[in-house]
Amino acid sequence: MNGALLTADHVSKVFYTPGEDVSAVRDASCTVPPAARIALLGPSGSGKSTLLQLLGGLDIPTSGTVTWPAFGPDVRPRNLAFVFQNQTLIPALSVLENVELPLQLQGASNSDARERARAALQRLGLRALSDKLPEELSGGQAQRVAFARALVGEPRLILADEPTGQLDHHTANEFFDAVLPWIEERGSAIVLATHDRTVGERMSERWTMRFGVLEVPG
Amino acid sequence: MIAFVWLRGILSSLSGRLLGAIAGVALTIALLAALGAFTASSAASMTKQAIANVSVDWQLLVNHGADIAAVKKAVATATPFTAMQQVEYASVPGFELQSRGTTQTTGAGKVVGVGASYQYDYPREFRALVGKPAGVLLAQQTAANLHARVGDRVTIKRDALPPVQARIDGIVDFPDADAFFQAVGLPPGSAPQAPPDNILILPETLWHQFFDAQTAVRPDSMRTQLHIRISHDLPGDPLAAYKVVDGRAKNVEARIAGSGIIGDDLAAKLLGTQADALYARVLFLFLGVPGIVLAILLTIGVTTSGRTRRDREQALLRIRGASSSTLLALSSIEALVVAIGGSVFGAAAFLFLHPHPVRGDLQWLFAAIVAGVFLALGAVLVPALMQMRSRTVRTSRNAIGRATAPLWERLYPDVLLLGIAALTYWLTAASGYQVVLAPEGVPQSAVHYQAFLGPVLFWLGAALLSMRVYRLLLVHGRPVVVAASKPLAGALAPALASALSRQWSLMTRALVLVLLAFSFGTATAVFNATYNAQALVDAQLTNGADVTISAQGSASPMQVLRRLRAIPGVLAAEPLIHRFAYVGNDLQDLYAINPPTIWNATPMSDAFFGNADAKGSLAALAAHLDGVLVSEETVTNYQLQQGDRLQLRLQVLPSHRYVAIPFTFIGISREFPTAPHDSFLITNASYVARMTQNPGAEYVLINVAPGNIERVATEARKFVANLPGAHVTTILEAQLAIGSTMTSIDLRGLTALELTFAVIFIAAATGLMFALGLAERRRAFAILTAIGAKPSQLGAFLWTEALAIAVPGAVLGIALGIGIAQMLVRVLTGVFDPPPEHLVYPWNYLALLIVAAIVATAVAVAAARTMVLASVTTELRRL
Ligand SMILES: Nc1ncnc2c1ncn2[C@@H]1O[C@H](COP(=O)(O)OP(=O)(O)OP(=O)(O)O)[C@@H](O)[C@H]1O
Ligand SMILES: [Mg+2]
Repeated sequence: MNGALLTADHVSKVFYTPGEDVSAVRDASCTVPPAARIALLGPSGSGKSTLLQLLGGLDIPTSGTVTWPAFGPDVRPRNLAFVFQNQTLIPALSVLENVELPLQLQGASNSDARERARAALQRLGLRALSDKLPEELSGGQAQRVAFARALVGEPRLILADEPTGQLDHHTANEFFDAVLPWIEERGSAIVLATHDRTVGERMSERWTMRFGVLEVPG
Repeated sequence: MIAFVWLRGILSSLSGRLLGAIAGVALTIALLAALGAFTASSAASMTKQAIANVSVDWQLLVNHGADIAAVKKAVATATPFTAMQQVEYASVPGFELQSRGTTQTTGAGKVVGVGASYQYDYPREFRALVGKPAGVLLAQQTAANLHARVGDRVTIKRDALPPVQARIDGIVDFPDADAFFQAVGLPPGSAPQAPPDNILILPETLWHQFFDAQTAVRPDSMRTQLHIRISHDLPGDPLAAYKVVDGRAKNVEARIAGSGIIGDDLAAKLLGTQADALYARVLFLFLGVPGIVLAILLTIGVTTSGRTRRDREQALLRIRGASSSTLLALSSIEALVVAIGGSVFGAAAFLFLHPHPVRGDLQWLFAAIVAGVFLALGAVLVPALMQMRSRTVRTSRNAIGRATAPLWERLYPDVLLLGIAALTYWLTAASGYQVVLAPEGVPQSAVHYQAFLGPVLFWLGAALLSMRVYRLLLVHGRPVVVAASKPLAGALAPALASALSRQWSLMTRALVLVLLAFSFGTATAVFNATYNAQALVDAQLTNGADVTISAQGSASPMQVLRRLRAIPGVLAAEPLIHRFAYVGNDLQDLYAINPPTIWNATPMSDAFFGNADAKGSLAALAAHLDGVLVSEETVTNYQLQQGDRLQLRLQVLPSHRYVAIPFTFIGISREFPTAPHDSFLITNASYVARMTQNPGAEYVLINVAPGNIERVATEARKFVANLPGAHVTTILEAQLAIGSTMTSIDLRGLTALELTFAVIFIAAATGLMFALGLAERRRAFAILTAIGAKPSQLGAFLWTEALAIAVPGAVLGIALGIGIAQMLVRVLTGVFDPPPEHLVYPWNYLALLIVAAIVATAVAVAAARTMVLASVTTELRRL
């Protein structure tokens, strides 16, 4: 498809474990166009995280291919950012330093990185946490900082794996009130795995996973 | 084995830790056993050598009127023995010889009577120079005084009796005259008696014929001794051997109650050796113990690595229902595996080093294994127990976090230790003390153990101070860290600096191990190199050159000089004239050289000369044909001024008379190759040869290309075979035979061992500790990769972190090592003779240490990179 940010073509992933072989993703095909807002729904263990990791290039499919036609060779962190299901702030770095990291990986200067990271935290209402260490944050705070870290480089595609899993309903919605306009402004696309129906409702498209099978409507 | 450990460490942090601990315990066991065995065997070989060097074990002085047969019987019952010779001594007023129209007389002397088999039992007591080694033998010095030759009839003056005459059968040399003529029974500490100037040896029967009558009139001038060699089946430890020998001597004295007294040379020699053995122990402590400490620290470093991660794992196990006792049982199994594995590998390594262990070796191995098992239990179980307690009370301190200064820093132990170190060092080094005290007549030498305090406290204090400074740098010196890591880490430098500052506790721990490993390797290597250089100087001084040819009398090795020079491998061969000269009434050794060429044959150290300038002194000698360099003592005795004229009396060839020859005093000599340590003279060869009308040189000094000494010596022996009395000696023999305390200890085994271990320690400290420390931060690197770090950026991050430990560790460690080597040389200065002028740096070995560190770091970084890249998703799935 023309202009697609991401295309997955008959992608499967099998985990070979001592007891049994787990087919976490079976023959999934999909495309993500620019500015898409996709919710990835499905019960626990259905393969959402595995699929997102394949789509983000963090893991290699057992068969099939994932391509990012619009990005060229430069995928992460410039064009694609990932928000993880677990706590993934680097423990030795403060909140601000964690958020600066993707910019520094792209070679941004010290002051530039600092300024943009501050702005990102400000925008998501996390400014007060700037100097805290990850171990000093609540689970929900850490997840929001991780989201800020994904957004700071203003990538064109964000893959988020239950980014608000540890937030209550209300806070999660409030957080998305801050996040979504920013994504929209930038024209970025987002694929967001979630159990939260209301969060899912805020997306324009809903994909579902069941036993490793991806169902893309339409 | 280390490589194997790494390989496994890459695969899994847990089993890497286990194998690392096994390797640490194995290293500790192997090092401890090897060092112990070294000390024991060096003591045994010193004892053996000492016993072999004593020619007469016991000289039993039999009192006048005692029943000699009864005394002999008492000895035989008290000790097994292999030789017992009766020796008679008579003091005489002098000797006289009339020959070739002149009459020569001497002062007082001694006439000795020995049995025909004496030479057989004690072949080294006197050595035939001219004529037969049996019959009537005249000592060389006496022969020179009397101008005597074989066949001449010498007149022996007797006390209160008419003189008698004997025909000379041979002229002999008395290498061990001091002992042979010692005054048995003098209280310890009294001044040693000089051997008599004039000596004549007679066969037993002839002696009795001449002197039995003198016994009647002047019994005080007569002595009877028994020269006894006891059985040498003695313990290997010198002190134990001393106790056996001394016990037997006391037993004999008790049995013969008042009939005689024993001069126990063997026991005295063993006592001296005990001091040497203590030096070996001192070296063991100085050089070995830090290595063992390091091995233990490395083991603990391994077992306590990855602690935060294991906290989490234990917490998970608890959640799944594991009880404290289950966890303890798991840890106990781990400790057991480490103990058994460490013992097996440690024993294997030791047996590899000692393929044919003797009983003492195995005893040490056993002791080392016991220590290793304790180390294994301690290093594995103690952290596990602490972990459990801290889990239950929730006080576990994170390895990564905000910078709060550790408690010890606020107590300033580093400053305290350095202060005490400086004080003790100053007290010991300034007071010119001896590390090993061997007081005269006291049966036990003592090691001045306080002397260790300086270097040891310095080592600890400097290590702690380095930790403090390093932590301060990481935590407060951010701009420095950023600037230093910029070349490698680029834009990531600020993030890296922050990360390093928050994991200072991991970093300082790793740093101190690298630093200690480097300081250990450097101190050992520098000390060893300095020591070897000094031993070489010592050997060179004793032997004169790589190969030395000496001859006496008319046979001068000059005759074969040209042929010697033609031997392949000979770089230079220089004659050295050695005569005796009277300075006033004082007979001194005189060495005559050709100043410009002597350098080619043997090194001329600045320390040889009073003005500490070898070049200048030799140039001055070359400029003054009649110049002479004399000892400091002579300068003070004779109130000499530069340029003073001196009359020295030398023997002139045709007449053999001592004739006064004028010399000019131009400087002071302190040491010279082949020269004794006391007074001697150095002059120009051409002048002495001309003035004495004797161009013969008594020595030829040969400088040999490395590795050719044995071969050149063999060739040279062929050439001088028909020069009477000629000897070829090599520096290698001198090195073995040198009796001076320190240099007699063969350090090679010890240092080869330690230098090997030092390389392993450094590889382990830099590589293994980094790889294991990574367990704490693997997740951080996985995250870094997941958010988009390229493999090259990850590599830069890892390299910077590894170098942030390795570079300061190596630099500080090498500096500390040099400091410690300096202290060691200083502290042991009393045992070097002469003391070294400066430290010798074994650059190749130091380079090897650095290469080992670089290779280990590179392997560890590569392994870490591969491991992180391969496990990003698994790592992120972990909670
Ligand atoms: N590295 C792995 N090794 C073995 N099995 C795995 C691995 N990763 C995932 N799986 C298995 O693949 C399946 C899908 O897991 P995945 O984490 O993708 O589910 P999920 O939909 O994200 O679940 P949740 O909503 O609980 O996060 C599961 O059965 C899981 O056990
Ligand atoms: Mg998931």
